[in-house]
Amino acid sequence: MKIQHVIKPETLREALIALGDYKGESEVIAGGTDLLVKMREGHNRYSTLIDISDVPEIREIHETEDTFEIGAAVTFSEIVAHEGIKQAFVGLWEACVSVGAPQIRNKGTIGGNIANASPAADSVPPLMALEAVLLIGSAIDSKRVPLSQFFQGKGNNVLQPGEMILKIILQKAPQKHKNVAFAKLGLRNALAISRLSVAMTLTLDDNNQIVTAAVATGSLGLVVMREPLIEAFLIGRVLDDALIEETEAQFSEVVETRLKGRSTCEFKKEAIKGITYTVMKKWMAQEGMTC
Amino acid sequence: MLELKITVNGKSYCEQIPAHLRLLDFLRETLGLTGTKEGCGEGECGACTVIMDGKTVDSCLVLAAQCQGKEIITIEGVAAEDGTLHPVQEAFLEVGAVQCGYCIPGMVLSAKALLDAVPHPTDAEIKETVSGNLCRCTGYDKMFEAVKMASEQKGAK
Repeated sequence: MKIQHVIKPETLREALIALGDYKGESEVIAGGTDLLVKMREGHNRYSTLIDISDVPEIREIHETEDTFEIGAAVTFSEIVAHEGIKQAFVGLWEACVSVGAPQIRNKGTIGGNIANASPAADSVPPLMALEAVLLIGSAIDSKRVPLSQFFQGKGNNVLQPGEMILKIILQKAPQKHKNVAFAKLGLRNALAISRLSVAMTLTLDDNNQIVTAAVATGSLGLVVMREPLIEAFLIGRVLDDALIEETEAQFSEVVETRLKGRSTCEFKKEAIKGITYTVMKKWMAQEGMTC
Repeated sequence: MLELKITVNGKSYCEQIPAHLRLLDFLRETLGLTGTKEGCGEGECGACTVIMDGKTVDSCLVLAAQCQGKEIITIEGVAAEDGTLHPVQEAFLEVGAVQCGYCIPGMVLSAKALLDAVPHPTDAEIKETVSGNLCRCTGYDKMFEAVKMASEQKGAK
């Protein structure tokens, strides 16, 4: 659909009012790195765009005692340059570094990456493993939605007409930093859409026994998802090389069941083993564990 | 149609443009600055790279309407007004980093943006910087050499 009208609000209030006034006929544009590709293919839905890329209230990264709050229109380059995010959530930082290339990261935003609802979105698996919460706003009100409840299918999310993501809220507490590990397979080192990605957070007791586990995958289904079977498999087990090998096999079975009959099954049921190894080893290295 | 106020290579413009116009087309068609190339039209090759407010962007993925008040530098704006080449351009010529030339405007702008921000980049930083500029001819080594050379020359000046 050809774009007829671009509105450029200067404040969040203006943006939300415009989104309400043009409810059902408009969508927001931030970096445009997904939307302009859709426009080129004729798949964009609305002829009116509301350009939120310069709205100051959603362009900040804010750290509190217990949380990091990332504005929806913060670009990947800005996240990559943020030392606090790198220290607190290194896997999320790595995922943001892996997005596209510098030109894409200079424009692409974390809110756009989420709202586009691609199963291959790079930032989403670590955000999912970190149990991120989204603040969603409209001209009338705002509400918190867990990221795990945001996706409805490939390219589909729960945003209603007139709503947009305002910020992404990540808990630091109780550990003040959450060790999240991330690994991605792409066809090349840059400008690579994820073909398979895994993000993982764990907590261990004093005997290296896994107490909690959050595992999220990208490009293994219609949406980025948590993997409850793998999480249940890990909990109560001691984290060591033997467990890594067993987890590879478990994950391979999960993938084979899920993708049976699809052309990607043969590749992904094998590739998941290597990427499981990588992400678990990374988690351990990031934790300072030698094993 | 909407009114766009934008600065390109130091010159201010005020133009009536259709809402759907990409920055790439504004530069090439409206302003006649054809140095910026369209390689893929979907942000996968970097041939359309320009510098916007100091940062490289793929101009095929930016609507001109989003550029109100922005400062754009294209390849035409890299050399000085009197024609003196930028150290990056000198270095590309010196080492022979140009073959067909199609990726070069984007490459030069990526390199310039890097050196403006990081005068003495590491090899890893140079590679990362041009990772969004695909080249089918050269194998990239001469690009890295040229950027390194330019960073050393710039320091010397």
